[in-house]
Amino acid sequence: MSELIRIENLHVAVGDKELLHGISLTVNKGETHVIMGVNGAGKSTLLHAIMGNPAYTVTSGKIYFEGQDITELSVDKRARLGIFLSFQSPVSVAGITMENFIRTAKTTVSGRQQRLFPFKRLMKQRLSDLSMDPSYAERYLNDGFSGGERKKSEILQMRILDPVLAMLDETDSGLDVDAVRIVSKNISEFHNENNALLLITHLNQILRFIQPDKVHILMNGQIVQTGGPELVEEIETHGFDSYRTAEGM
Amino acid sequence: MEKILINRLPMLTYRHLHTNETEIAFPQQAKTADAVFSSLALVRPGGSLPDTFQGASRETREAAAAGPACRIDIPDGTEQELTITVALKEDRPDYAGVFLFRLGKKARLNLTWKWTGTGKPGRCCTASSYEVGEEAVLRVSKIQTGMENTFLCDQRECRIAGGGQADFVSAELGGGDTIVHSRGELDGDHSVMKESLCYAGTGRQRLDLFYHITHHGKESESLIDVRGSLAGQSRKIFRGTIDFKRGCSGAEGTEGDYAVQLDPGAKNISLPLLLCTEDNVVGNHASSAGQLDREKMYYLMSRGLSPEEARRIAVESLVRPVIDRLEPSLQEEALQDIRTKLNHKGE
Repeated sequence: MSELIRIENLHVAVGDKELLHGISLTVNKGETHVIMGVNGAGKSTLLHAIMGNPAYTVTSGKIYFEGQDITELSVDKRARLGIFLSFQSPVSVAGITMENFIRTAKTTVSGRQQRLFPFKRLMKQRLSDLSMDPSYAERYLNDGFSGGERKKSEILQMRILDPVLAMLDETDSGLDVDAVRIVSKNISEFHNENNALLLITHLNQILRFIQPDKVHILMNGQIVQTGGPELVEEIETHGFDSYRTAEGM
Repeated sequence: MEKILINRLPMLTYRHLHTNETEIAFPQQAKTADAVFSSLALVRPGGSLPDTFQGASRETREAAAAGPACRIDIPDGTEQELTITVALKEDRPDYAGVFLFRLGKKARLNLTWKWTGTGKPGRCCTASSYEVGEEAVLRVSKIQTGMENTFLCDQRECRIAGGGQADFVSAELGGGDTIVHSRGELDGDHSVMKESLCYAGTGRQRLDLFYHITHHGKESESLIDVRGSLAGQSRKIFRGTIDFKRGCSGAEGTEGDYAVQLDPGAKNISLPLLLCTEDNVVGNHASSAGQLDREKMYYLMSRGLSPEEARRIAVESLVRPVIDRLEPSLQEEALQDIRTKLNHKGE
């Protein structure tokens, strides 16, 4: 499997406060990585740093995507390379419909004009895949959506934009049991040997449907353990206590 | 060029803030264009402004009154549509005029204003008086584009009887200096007046917006909603007053002024004011000014949109609630004009 993203000794800060203290991680195409950890461990910070959120400053370290150094690249350029982040709390944007927004985004990231009727068909199909009413296409982006609907909207965007690296930040939180199953099915259908998934989750529901290749435990801004799917079972049984003790937390 | 004072606040604040009124250069009028009516059947020449009509200033009121006057009467229980176009031309870059509207009981009027013209320096001053009868409904949509070197002054006063409604929606996109002066008198119980306006200031455009809605009637309602963006060296000042008079119990008024400043040279001043001599009322006011929401910009750019595209979408999302309330045939033109202006925002 070829390397998709490589993170080398990444240090990230907000203002004077360093939040990540030397993260190194490699994700290959076709893989699914899960990041677990207590609240405030730095999981979301890591995903936002990969996405290029200007609120976070990379103080040292490098991020390589398909061999290219993207550490200094702007958010939109990273997105156009095929990096996608499903937000934990997606913002709403009244004034632009879901369909118009996603069509504009698809045109931008693919570099190809999206013809109206084929795009409408694709949109309708993907909404159906997520058990969403077709009328959502005409609603303003995430405007008036419930928490669960916003999470589905993120997965809808992921499926249509078809990124190479999809990072999902607690996509399963706020979803009911049926919605977790539907969203998980969509993630599974999206995933193939040419792309990779990087998931943050506190719940194990989604991992009943998606088999991780690697699981990383993040504590206090550092990866303290990496293992296989068995780590999920261990965390579910024992929690993070042993890692807290080791970290002196 | 003569300097005049316009849009004086009803309750003055500290003089050193220089916000009580605006001093502005008032150009001379030259050759005037004509107003074009979609139907002359409703229009009668003649008439004069009510003695109580104030306008932005004495000078601007007199300038409007120097032009032709016309009356538009909508009889009781009837429904009419009317479009008035003021198109300023190269050889006739000015306009002045008085419009007197009267809606009878349960009458309805859908009125569309189109102001447009070239970049030739000019002056356009209008004064409009609206009398809305019992349970009558007045809907006014206005779009104003081009005329980037024109002094525009739209003065209106609206008096609404019991159960009557007046809804003004404007896209003030053009003009060099754009002055809006609107007064509303909610005389009757359950009367309603709404004022919504969007703008996209660029270059050295200046907007001076004044609203004063007075509640007299019980359970009357008012809304002032102003939204837009300021780029380049553009400036905007908002003076919005909702005035609850004794006896208007159960009345509710809301005013909001929301501005995004796209460039450091842009300037915004917001003066929302609530006056009240009645206990049992609800008054809400809000204003926000600043740069675009960083979180929203980040979200939009995380989907591949360039900073320029993300900014356009963010501005559109701000003004869209006003655009959506415009008469449908004006909505696309307003959006296109905003997009064009955002593409050339500093010019």
